[in-house]
Amino acid sequence: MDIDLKQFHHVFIEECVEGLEVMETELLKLNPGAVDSEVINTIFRVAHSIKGGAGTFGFNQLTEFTHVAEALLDDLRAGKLTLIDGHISLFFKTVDCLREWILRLASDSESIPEEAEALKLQYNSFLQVDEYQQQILASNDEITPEVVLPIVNHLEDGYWLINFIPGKDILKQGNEPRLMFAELQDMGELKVTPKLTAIPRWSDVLPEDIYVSWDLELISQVSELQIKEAFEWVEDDSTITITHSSAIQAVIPASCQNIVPTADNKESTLAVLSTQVSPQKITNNKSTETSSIRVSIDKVDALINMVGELVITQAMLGELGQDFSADKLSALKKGLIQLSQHTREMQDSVMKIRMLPIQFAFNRIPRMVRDLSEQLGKNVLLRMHGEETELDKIMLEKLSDPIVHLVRNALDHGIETIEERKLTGKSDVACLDISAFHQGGEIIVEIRDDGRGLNRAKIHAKAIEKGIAKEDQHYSHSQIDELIFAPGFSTVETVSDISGRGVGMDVVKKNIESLGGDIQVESNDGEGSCFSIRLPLTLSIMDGQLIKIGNKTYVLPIMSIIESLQLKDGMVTKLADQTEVFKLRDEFIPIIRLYQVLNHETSLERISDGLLVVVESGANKYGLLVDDLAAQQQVVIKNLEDNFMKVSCVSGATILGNGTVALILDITDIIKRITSKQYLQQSQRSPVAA
Amino acid sequence: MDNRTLTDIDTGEKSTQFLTFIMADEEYGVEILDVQEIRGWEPCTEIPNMPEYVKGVINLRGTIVPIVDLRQKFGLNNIEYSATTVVIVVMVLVEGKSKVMGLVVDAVSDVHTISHHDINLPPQLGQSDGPSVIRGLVSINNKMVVLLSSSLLLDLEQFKNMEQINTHRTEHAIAVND
Repeated sequence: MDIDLKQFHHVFIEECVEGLEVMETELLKLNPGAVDSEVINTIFRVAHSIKGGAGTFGFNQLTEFTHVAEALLDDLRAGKLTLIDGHISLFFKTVDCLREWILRLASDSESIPEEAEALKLQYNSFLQVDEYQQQILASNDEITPEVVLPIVNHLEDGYWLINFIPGKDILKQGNEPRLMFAELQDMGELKVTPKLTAIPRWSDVLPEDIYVSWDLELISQVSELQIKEAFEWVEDDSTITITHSSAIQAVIPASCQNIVPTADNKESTLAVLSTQVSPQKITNNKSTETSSIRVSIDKVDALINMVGELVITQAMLGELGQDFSADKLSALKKGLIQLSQHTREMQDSVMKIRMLPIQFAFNRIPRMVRDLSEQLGKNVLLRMHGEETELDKIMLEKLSDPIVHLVRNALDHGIETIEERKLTGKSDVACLDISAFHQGGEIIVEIRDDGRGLNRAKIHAKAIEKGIAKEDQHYSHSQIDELIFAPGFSTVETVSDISGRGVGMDVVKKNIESLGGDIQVESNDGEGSCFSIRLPLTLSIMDGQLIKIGNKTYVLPIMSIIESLQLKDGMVTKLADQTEVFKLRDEFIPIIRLYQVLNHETSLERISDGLLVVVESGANKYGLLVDDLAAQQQVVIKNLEDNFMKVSCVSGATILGNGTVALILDITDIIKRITSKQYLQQSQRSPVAA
Repeated sequence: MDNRTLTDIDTGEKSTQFLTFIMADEEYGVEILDVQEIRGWEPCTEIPNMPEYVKGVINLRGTIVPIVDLRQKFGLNNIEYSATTVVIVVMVLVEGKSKVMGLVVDAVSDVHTISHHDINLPPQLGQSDGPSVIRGLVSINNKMVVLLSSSLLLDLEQFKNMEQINTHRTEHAIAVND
């Protein structure tokens, strides 16, 4: 065992994280009335593989913990126990606990989530309980945390008779009966009697097969579960019968009758409740979770095909080049066209590899909706559409938290309580629709609820109080709705557990804008509200407008440009604070002289010599003064931070057709810079006359 | 770092190879394994609102690489770029990620194998708050060569300490002359 298992830890951890996600999804499908055995099987398989992995890597406590969960699942699977709500919520807590555990393992921490022990006790209580007690439990709403049965681990010495007929292959799988017996021996007094009757004639013996079976007598205090544990790796292939002297059996039901909540049990209740905090911790750690990407084999195949074609084209061109003459010119041209075609196709397929279904960002929602609606006493029907819509992986990761926030908001503020809904004549069940779809080269994610809608009067009042809105100004409905995205705005006075964690809508908006997207809200009083997030398809390619500032070329994202125009002398008004504005139809638009922001020389003498590019940032419009407009083209976005650092006013760089680098301007950042004091001072020294 | 060290079979002495370059008639050296390539100077795209020594960025086969004028950064006199002006493209690992940066210098000089015994530590000046970019000083043919640490050169935060380099040089020169 000289291999350093550590190098495989991250694989195990990634597998566990994925497994837990599957488990959670499947758990949501479980329902005590109608048990789908396939669902239980899937959950069982996940638990089993986590246990297996944990065993391999020597995380013994994790093995033990998953083992009890697996045992309960096994009983459910075999129909020995009937599924009740208590089981499901216990499994949910287990998922949370395991997730926390895995995260700790990932950060090389040896510590164990505090709730693990309490959960284990609950499992044991379920496992020991008989049908009669189950019904008592099922009838009690608070069940699981309250009623923790004493575990029947401390029996009097029992006499166990184990008949072990190993599967023929177990030696090949690396299982060693001697070690299993040694484990049993640790539990108590063990007597082993081999049975050699099944041994075939010498000529028929295959040296790798096992022909011996054993009768084991064990005198020990252990439970059947613990004995089974010794055989856990071989139980699928082997026949193991464990019988137990009847005298001890009477003890189990007797011990189950003490269903009295004691001080001890209260403590475990607290421990269990504390698990509810853990999903939040996980959110914070999300970025560490997925460092690799799973790509469907189709995409890889498409790519391989493309590379194949590329190689053929290359060979053809190579051959052509060996003895080139003028008459082969047309063949060369044809080859080059083919080459460019293949390169483009290949670029497309490589881009597709980065695309993942938005499902990954939606994954956590059903569980969250379930928990929250329970907590808030609201009845919510969650519908998700377009989960297969694909999105760039990086965006997906950054989108997850804003979506979660919006869903929390919808549940907390948007959707009314059942009573309130009844009063307004709505159906008890509120609908929360989350949909993702393509629209004109963009991806739209909508979160729509049929709750009370935004309370405009309250928002307006709050905005005035916070100094975000002016009292004497008239605001249209949509302008008021926009106010919720303003920094420093939050209508909730006290920070509740559900929404308003100090993360306001302005953070959501900023996150989405950092992805090159935009968020809008639409709301109808009493009918609900709808938040729609628009995002560019990919972060690495965008449509750009090349602009000239002095003799330098920059790129503006076309998405943010509304129009470009040339101003005539006298159209510009200078305000008292030196801001220049001009009137475009019925709006006053401030002018930003880009050469000043970027500290460049300009050939412009007057504003009317240059062009004004009107851009939109948030709800506001600005006119950017540039020397000239150049071509529009698709640009591949390169990161400046890779080799350098974040540069203000610049969101990235790209390489133009002539091989030179052009910087992509970050409009949001420019505007932020403009509004800062420092810039105002600079602009007062403006050398150019209007 | 160990695999970058050469060990003399006969004497067991450890040594490292350095590429040396000239700036204002002084010789500086960087570890040769950090040098990715040497290019001629070519105009680059300016980055707005950057200190003057950050010349801009270039396209190096599809990667965007910042170019820093080491002369300006070291506070030496500014000179016109000439035919011998070169960009040394240096690559180092910073926090597990490789970072590439181009350093504009007057000219490249030579490659020296320098034994670790011969490297003198730079004189410590009290006011320095953080590691200095100077890794050590070494005398080659009675000429002083300043060995620079490429990882600290590329660490943008550490750039601030660079101003001290001239003071160090003067001190060492005095010490050698004695």
